Amino acid sequence: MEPNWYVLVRTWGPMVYTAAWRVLGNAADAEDVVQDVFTEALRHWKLNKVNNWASWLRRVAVYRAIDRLRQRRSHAPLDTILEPSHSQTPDAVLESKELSGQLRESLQQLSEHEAAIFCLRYFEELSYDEIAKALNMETAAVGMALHRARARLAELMEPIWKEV
Amino acid sequence: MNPVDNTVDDALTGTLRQAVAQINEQPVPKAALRHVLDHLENWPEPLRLQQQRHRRFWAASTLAASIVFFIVWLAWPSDSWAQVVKAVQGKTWIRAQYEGEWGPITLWFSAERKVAANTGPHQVFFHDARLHVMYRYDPTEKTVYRLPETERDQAMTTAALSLFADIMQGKEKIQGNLMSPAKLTRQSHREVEENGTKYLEFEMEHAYPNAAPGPSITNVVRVDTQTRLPISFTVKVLMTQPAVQVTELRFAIDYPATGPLDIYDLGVARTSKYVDRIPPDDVERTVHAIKLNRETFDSYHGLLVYSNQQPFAQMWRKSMKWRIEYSKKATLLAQPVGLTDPTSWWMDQAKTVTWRASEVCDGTTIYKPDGKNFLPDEQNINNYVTQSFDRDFGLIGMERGDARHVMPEIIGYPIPQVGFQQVSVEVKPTPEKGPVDTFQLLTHFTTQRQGIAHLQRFWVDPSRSYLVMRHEIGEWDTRPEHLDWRQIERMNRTPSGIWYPQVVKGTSGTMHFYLDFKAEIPDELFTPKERVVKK
Repeated sequence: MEPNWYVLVRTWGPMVYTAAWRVLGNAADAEDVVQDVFTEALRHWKLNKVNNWASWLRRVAVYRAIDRLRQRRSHAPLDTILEPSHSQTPDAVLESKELSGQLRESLQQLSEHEAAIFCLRYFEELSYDEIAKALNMETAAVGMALHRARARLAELMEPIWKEV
Repeated sequence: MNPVDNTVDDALTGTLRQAVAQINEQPVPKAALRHVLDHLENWPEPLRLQQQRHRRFWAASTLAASIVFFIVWLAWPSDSWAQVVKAVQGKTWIRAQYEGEWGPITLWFSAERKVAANTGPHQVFFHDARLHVMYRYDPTEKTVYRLPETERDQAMTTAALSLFADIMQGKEKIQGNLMSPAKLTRQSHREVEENGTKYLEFEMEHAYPNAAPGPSITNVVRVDTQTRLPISFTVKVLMTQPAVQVTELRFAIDYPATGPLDIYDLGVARTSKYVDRIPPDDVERTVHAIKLNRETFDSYHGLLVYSNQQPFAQMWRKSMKWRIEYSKKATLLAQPVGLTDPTSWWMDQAKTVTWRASEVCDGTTIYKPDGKNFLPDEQNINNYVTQSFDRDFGLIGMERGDARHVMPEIIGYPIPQVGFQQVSVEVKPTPEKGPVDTFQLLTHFTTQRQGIAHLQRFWVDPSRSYLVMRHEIGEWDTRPEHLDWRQIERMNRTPSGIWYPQVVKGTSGTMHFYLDFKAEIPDELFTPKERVVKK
């Protein structure tokens, strides 16, 4: 049975937002992605097309977030200031954004597909099988893509931090 | 490693592992999450299909379709138009009916009774513009809500009704463009024939300027050449973002002698549950005062310093313009003991810190820096009100952006969300706990499902210009550890007498605000560009 809209938003909204937030690290961008995802969700909801909302929403959230991340590839500064959060001191925010910012920038250098698989595996902690199912691909292909993504990311990030 | 084997250790190492761990440990900004969920939950049908930046149009779709329809009439300075006006005069009710993918939808207007009403598959409403009351029926809950009309309700219905009234009075011109910032780009009329009957069709195209991308809208009004009465209007919307999409709504028009006098006349069962959400006078007064203090707060240059050692943000405010900058790097500075003028001391220290603009509002549009450029904040509704940045939009703009995290007048004056269908409100004149001399205003979402609750408590000090001394937000339940809270520990008054927080404790640490009300605040600070700092 289709969930009503309220239940859909309240049940999966936090997951969608969190997925977008992890990829983007910016509240406004994450909000934007959530709205994009639910705009799309509503269309599917109306047509009663989705069997597994959690999987569908998570996948679309990660892809939309990566889209947005890639859009800011050419001009996003490394030290983009994060919004202060209610539950984190600014000191902590500023320290952690250095490394996390590097990773986000490096993710922009991957193909969209590899970046999405990496995020689903390490941010969303999905198994290979779950990723394969969500993306309609072979499990082996997931492993290969992850392998490539890890290697590329390690390469992209290592020089920066050796200087420290 | 075998990439097929899910049990294989594909754990990350080194820097990559640390970076992933940092990202996974970064707490999700609860306020932003809450905001977006509230927003999504309230998307009305069928408007939910549109993006945020299109909502302004679509939120108006059913009503605005009618409004546009009237504009089409009124924008037509021709003999044909004059004849149409004459034909419509004397009609007490206009009814527009739509059958199709989004429907059925029926709209009612009566200038004489100052009523606008709508029945649709997801909602029924009856707006009594004379009494400023909106009745909404939620079919899922089988409940009728009595609500205060919002400014949007008021603007839309009043505009539609005044247009209607002007038609009745035979006026030829109407002031204002209700589709702003959409511009009229083309108009034409033609004679058409269908099934042997001749009709006159008026067509008008609107498009949004580049600065505020949006749909292009075409309205077609079909007039019966015999009676000179409009018999239908069609709204065609061409969306280009996120994908090309054409939506068409065709309404058939007639003019019944009688119409709905209350929401029950629209088919709502009188046995439906009835909930009154009109806030009591004291709540209304409080909300009004809070909004007013935000709006009229004195001009200032300010600093937000965490724990009196880290300059984190600096802010400039002048009327409804503001600029927010964040410090580029973590900088720790210890405030010397016994300072007589800490504000001056911190302002001097701030000159040694590198700042980066985070948000600029020029009084018309809110901008966010995007690398070298400042772009209108697409996330913010103000982007679509580039020609009329009115009070309410300014206040909303403050609520949505960075301002809510760093500006003392926003932190000191959080606006209670009252008057909404899902929100109940309660006032406790003498709360059991909390700052002295305050009363407590409590709002909570009543649509609790799956254990979800959303609670806000405001401890308001009426003797200090309704400053909210303590503010608590319960995210998903009311357990203390799940509450976000802020409490004002020290406060002061602006030169014009509005109280504001100087020291605020809360879940995000201790915030110290240093405001200079005498600072020179040039207008160029509020232009969307980086600030030039003289070395």
